[in-house]
Amino acid sequence: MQGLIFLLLFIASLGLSAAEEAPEDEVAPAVSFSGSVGLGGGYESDVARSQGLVGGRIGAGDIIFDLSGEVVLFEEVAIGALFLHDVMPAYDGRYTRMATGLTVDWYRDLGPVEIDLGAAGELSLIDRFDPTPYFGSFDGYVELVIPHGETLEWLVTLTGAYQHGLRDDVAYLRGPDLFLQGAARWHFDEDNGLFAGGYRAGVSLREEAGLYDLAGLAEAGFTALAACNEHFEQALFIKASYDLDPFSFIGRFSAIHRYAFRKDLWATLDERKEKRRIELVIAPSLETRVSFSDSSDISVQYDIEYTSSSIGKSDYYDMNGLRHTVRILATQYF
Amino acid sequence: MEYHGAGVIQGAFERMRFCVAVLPVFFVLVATAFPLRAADTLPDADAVKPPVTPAADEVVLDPAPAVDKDKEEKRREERQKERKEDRKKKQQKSGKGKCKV
Repeated sequence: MQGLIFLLLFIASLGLSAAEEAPEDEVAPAVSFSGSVGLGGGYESDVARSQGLVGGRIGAGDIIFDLSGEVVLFEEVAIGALFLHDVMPAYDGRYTRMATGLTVDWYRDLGPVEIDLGAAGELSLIDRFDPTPYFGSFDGYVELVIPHGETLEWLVTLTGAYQHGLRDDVAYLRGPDLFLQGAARWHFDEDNGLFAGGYRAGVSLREEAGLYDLAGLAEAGFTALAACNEHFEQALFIKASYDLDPFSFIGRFSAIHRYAFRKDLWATLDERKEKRRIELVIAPSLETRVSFSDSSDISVQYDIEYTSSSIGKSDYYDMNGLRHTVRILATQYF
Repeated sequence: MEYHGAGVIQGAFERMRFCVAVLPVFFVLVATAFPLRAADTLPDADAVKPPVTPAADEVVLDPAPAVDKDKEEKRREERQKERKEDRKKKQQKSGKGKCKV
């Protein structure tokens, strides 16, 4: 811990000394600070599903406190920290989460191409009364931005990540992701509007899930489960936004296709079955943001996620379903 | 507690709990340095200079079209903002992905 504190102190002192040495005719400071504080709440229609519980699909509300800060050095390197407290009173607060993360991003304009590199590390804790490490994750990306004329730009992004389930019930959720993404962004109406779209493909590799990894499965009469968590994933995504001061309207849509590398196997006392998991997820989203000043806004977001899966009611778990999430968040930027 | 094999990773993550303790230090640093930034960006009264009118022979008659740096900068800020929002959304979902089975 002391090492990290010294590192932060070093970075801060480096930034401040850089600011002192900045030439007078430079408009932008060599070091700048920014951040945000957010407070809001929401409602999710299917908490049971998202928490991996077999049985009823129960909705629940939550309260979110969100804090982030960032130091930018020489307009190229950004070092940030994120903190999130998601209080969920349902289930006696057992799914209340706290997540903290550190991020580093580097940017360079190379003339015809801009390059972005970045990495993030995160640790999440769960349980209101006995906070326990839940997931640890690292991810990194390389992004090339290729401007094409005044209004169009192309983006190519390579992303790598690793997730590590820490608590016993998520210990099988460990493994890497690797994705390649291509996208285009079109700015219109004097940059008030944006239309973006692209395609992403890659693999997500997690360890196999067993009978006791899904709460309630053994009690429901199943005697064995070997569920493959390694799959190919591809997605099409679209985003459209328009700023009409003081409002911003944002629409998002994504269609995700997942194809498991092996078939799931499961058994009851009467039968033994196997089936490959293939999923299609359709996820539209609408968001409206009202800005009260340059430094504060309120956003209201509504997400729908519809999953159509080859593993259904007659199998070990019905993965088909519709989930709604609504969220309101007030944010103050500094 | 001692960790062996894959448990080393487990142990490393468990010891990362201190990040929660470190974050307030980070925010205190940011909050302390924020007024300094404000001071940095304010123009010094002595440094304000009258606009300079170029001499006739210094005027460039046919300048090359300038790249709109402001627009590039604005777009880059927009991309960074989106990246931050994506990270926050991912953070909000972190631990809610257990339905993957």
